[in-house]
Amino acid sequence: MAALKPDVASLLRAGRTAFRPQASDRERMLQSLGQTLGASAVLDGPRRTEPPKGPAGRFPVRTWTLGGLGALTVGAGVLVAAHPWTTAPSRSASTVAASIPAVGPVAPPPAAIAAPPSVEERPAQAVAESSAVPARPAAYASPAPGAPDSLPEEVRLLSKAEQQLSTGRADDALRTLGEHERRFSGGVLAEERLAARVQALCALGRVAEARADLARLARAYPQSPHLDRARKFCGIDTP
Amino acid sequence: MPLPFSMTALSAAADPKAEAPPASRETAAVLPSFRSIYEEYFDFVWTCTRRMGVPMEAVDDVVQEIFVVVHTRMGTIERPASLRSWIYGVVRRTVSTYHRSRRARSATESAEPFDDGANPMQPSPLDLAVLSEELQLLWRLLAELGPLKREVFVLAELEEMTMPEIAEAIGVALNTAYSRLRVARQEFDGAFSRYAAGQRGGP
Repeated sequence: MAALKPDVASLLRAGRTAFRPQASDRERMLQSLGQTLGASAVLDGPRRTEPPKGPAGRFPVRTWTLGGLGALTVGAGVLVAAHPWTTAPSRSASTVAASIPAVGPVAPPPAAIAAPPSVEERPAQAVAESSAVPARPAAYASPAPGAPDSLPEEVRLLSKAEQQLSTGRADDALRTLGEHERRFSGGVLAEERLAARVQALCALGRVAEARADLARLARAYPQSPHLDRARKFCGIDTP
Repeated sequence: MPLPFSMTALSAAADPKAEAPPASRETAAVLPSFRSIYEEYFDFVWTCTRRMGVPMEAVDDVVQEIFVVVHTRMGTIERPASLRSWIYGVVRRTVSTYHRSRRARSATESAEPFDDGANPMQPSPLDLAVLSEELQLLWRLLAELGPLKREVFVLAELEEMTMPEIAEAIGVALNTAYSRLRVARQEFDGAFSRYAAGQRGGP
């Protein structure tokens, strides 16, 4: 079958980002399905049986594309809600916290961040977590002194980038991600920023740059769940 | 004002006789859990639903109904390898029922004009209005394709489904799916060329 013209291919690439859900959509629907089908239905997955692999309160990483990026920001919202310096939980945090009736608290107390309880003790947390949560930067568990309030702003910027990507404004998303990088170069959501940047670059057809960023992502976060999806999204087969 | 989207109406889309393929003991054993299916296909279901013209205010109900159907029928899936196609079939029928239900309400209960968004892969005008210019162009060009060709084209080029998946999802022979895609590509290329010529001030 004849190949599409480059301009057409570029247009279609941009179109792949449109109408993707956001993290709050995924969490809200999961909550709703839990109420309709019963919590056991939505808990019944391979991830439920896997023990936590690191600090509790890690981001509920699920998918890489737009929804996945959003999931990360919702996860960050959970962390914000549990953050000792946070006084007003975000909307995302409240959404997640309300997920799945009759289960334990989603947002753990600060002490639990350093010592995660078992899956049985916090099943809702297990629901919110992915099976392949990567190792987080040390800054995650121990916010840098003097910057305790950076996470809500990081979440805001990544959410903004997500929204821009979902409406086909990949160039705007790149600028937002650039702002995030300037302000939070070693931020908690650096991995997610890099993954989002790969997607934005691919959407713009800047495949060489996307490959370079994908390589950076692989080097910095070799266990990142974003890697496979990023490769798939961009049509880059080789690791 | 139209009534809220009826879940009862949606249930009609989930006619078990229409959707449940024959059960297979050996293949059912390897089917992923519902939660795994949700994680893997939520984005796909949501995006297809939105692209089929279901507006934001109704998408939660429609997507929920789709996953309820998936949960109810997942034990009867004959070939887990074609899960995406099967799920797309559920999406397609459920969204179609939503549009039929909405049209019926619009005709009988309200003088409010209803813009029929039931064409496959044609988002609602309101949704299109908030997209970037580039994406608005994309859907303008897609709208020039007939609905059957547009559906195959979107599934192939935006959802990146394989042609066997698409053929199974929409219930046509593989050759038919290939033929629709070939023609759709030609027509889309042509529409794009006309647009580009217009931008240059050419013929």
